[in-house]
Amino acid sequence: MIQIESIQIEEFRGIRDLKLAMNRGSFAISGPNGSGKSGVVDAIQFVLTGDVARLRGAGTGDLTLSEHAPHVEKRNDPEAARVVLTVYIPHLKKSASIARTVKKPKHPQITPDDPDIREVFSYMAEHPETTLSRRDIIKFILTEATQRSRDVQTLLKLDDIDQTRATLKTTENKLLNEQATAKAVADSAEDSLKRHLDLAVLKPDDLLSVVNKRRKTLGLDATAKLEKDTDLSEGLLETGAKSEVGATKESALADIKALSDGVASGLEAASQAAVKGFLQNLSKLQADTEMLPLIRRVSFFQAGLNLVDGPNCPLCDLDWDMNKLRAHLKAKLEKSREAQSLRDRLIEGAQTVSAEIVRLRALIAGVARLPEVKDLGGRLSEWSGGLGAFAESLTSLDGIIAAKERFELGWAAAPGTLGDDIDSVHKTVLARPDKSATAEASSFLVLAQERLNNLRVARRNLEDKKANATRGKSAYRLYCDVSEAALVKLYHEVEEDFAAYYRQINHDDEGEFKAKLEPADGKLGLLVDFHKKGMFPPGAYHSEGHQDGMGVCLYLALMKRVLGAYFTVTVLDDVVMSVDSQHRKQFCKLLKTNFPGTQFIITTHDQVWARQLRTEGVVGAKSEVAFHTWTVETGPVLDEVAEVWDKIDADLAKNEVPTAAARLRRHLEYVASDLADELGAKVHYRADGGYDMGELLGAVIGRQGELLKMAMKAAKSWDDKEQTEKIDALQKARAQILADSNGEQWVINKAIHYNEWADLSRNDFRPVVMVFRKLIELFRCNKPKCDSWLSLTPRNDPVELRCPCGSTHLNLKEK
Amino acid sequence: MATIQDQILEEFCQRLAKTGEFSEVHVKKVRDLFAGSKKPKATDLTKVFSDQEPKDKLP
Repeated sequence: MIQIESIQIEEFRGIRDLKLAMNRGSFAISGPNGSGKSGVVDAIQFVLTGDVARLRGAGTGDLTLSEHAPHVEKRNDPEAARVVLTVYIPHLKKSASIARTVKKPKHPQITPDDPDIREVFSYMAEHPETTLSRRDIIKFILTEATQRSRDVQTLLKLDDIDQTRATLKTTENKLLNEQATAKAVADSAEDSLKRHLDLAVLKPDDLLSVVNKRRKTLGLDATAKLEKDTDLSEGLLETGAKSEVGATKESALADIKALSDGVASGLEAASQAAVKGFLQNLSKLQADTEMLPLIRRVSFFQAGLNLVDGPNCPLCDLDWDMNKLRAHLKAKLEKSREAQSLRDRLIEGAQTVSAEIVRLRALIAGVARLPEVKDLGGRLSEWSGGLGAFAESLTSLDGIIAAKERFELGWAAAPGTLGDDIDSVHKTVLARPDKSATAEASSFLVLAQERLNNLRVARRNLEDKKANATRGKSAYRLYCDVSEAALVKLYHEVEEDFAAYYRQINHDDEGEFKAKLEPADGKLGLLVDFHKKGMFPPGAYHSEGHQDGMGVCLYLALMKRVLGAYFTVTVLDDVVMSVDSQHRKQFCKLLKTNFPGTQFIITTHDQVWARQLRTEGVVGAKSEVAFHTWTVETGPVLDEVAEVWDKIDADLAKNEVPTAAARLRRHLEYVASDLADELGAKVHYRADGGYDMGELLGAVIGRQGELLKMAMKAAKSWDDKEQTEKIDALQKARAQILADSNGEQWVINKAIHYNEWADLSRNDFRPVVMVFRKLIELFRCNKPKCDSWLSLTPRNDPVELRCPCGSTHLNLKEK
Repeated sequence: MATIQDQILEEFCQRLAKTGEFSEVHVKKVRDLFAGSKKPKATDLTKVFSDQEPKDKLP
């Protein structure tokens, strides 16, 4: 998503003031341990995310960003600790910068502060995995399956998928509950109509028979068929018959009786049985004091059992024998099965009662509409509201447990004297004067139609709720299917990429390497082939170097899937330290071949690896910096290979000859070491690596002479005149430069070792600089885009001396 | 670039449309919910799946 142009670091971690130009290309930072390399990594991570991973997590104790991210001299001045990153955003074709201070880590200054650029930096902030250390990377390989699953899930941000899945499950449950409530409402509406018609079972013919009897009384035609829009009272207005709004006397009495019976018996038999079972189950729960904790912990034990895959308890981190811990949790889980079954029965009983509450509330509403109720309406409404709250409380286990007393006392009982008052209403309705047959028939038809309408609405609503619930169910099932298939595919792709990358690095000895990622029950197992002897955990037989290689390969495979085309930058902090030189060379090829659009910022304490990065073309000649020392006062002291000559010129312009001389000597040491390696120069081996610059440079120059002679001999054997002339020109230039340089070397030595620099003026020193610069250029490709050292290819049995771009190549093999 | 979450959501929406239980309106609303800055809640999805007007096609 971004590529780094440059970074400016001030008073941050071990760095006082440092600016590095990375120019959107891969970049190497080398230096011994403690030279400040990781400070750059921390700074990149900080400016992109507002945090420093190194100050978080296990073992970091009391470390905090605000107190420990600033340089130790500025620990009380977090505002001085500041990082500025300038970047290019390829997909927007825009440049931008982001700056953060430790004082306000969550408030970056973004320039230009455009929405699309803010979005890019916000995306980067959500992907701290772009800066990883060896420790971070190896954990993908050498970790328990549960932890690997967590780490990979975090990297792939798969928590979102689990969360969506849970949300869809909750949606499904809500819609199923709504369906259950709609069913209870429809059942109540049917009961209400049946009561009015005095029918035990609602069948169309029976309904029409009852209705047509009243229609005949009114002289109306019989209704022949019951259809979805049939009006049972059709033609009633034309008869002029008087009808009253509300229940007829018989219906009113039936409604009151239904309510009284319901209150007395707890409505349906199913409800009574449910309550009986409910109370038994609650008693069981209370009789066994262990049962409730077990119910609460059943999912905990299950999760715990799934998480056990190492010697530590996943909760308390104490050492356990893994088999004993599993057996312990299994026993707990087994014991909790009964508790789980009890919980399920209690919830099922609560659902039955909840449906009955809906029906009881419908009965209360029916009675509340009777004209005889008068002032009782408020209390009936209050009762109904209380029942609604009671139903709501039955949706949780605690609510169910708390409901025990209400079930024992009769959950449907009317509060206070309300039962007696309803009886009084019953008496009042009973005392209603009889009406004429036509008036009674008219009122009957009106109420029948009203209740039929209610039933039609309730059933339509039920159909809608069923369709909604079906949608909820389908959506959840589909999401599970789709996400599972996608994750299986993803893991398969990661597995394939991982194995292919690893084979690329280790094609010499593990060319048929295979790997298997196995997701299951919150774990992500990883098995790897070991020389076709079987599939084993990565730590079983592979060496530390191979494990390092696996770590970085798995990381790259994951990043390819996480970020795809947006994988444009990554910071790898000393990640292949245990991989040997030959395999690192293949690693370079892997980076170049498979990730041409990615800017790799690579730190290493290994000079050879830094050189390999350059000679293999992962980083350009001007894209590296070497930190050679570090002090509290100065932070890292570095050689910026690309800018050394400009800096020496600047020193001399200020007449600081000793500084310029020290810089030149350091650079020559660095270059001589590089060139000795590239050209295979012979030097006396030193176990401490402390080679003298003069010795190294002498060996390099000698080796160059040999190689040029070999090249000349080869060119002549092939009768290659063009090449012969070219080599001849090189030899002459070399001879001239050597003649100039040999005599000057002592000047530099004196200047820094014998403190005689005071005798040198800048005019004395400038020719020294010039001659060494020319000498070094003899070993380098002069194409600006290449600008790399010439090196032997292949290293062990060289056939040519060439640069990475190929524009300079001298054949060494005779005809 | 589509993340794994985006790919799953796209496939999910396509499969929803194929079931015949969801209208174009439903699917569009699901897409809109997930495209929003906040993660959808169950109440939001319940509302979408309870939309009963759905047979109409989008204009």
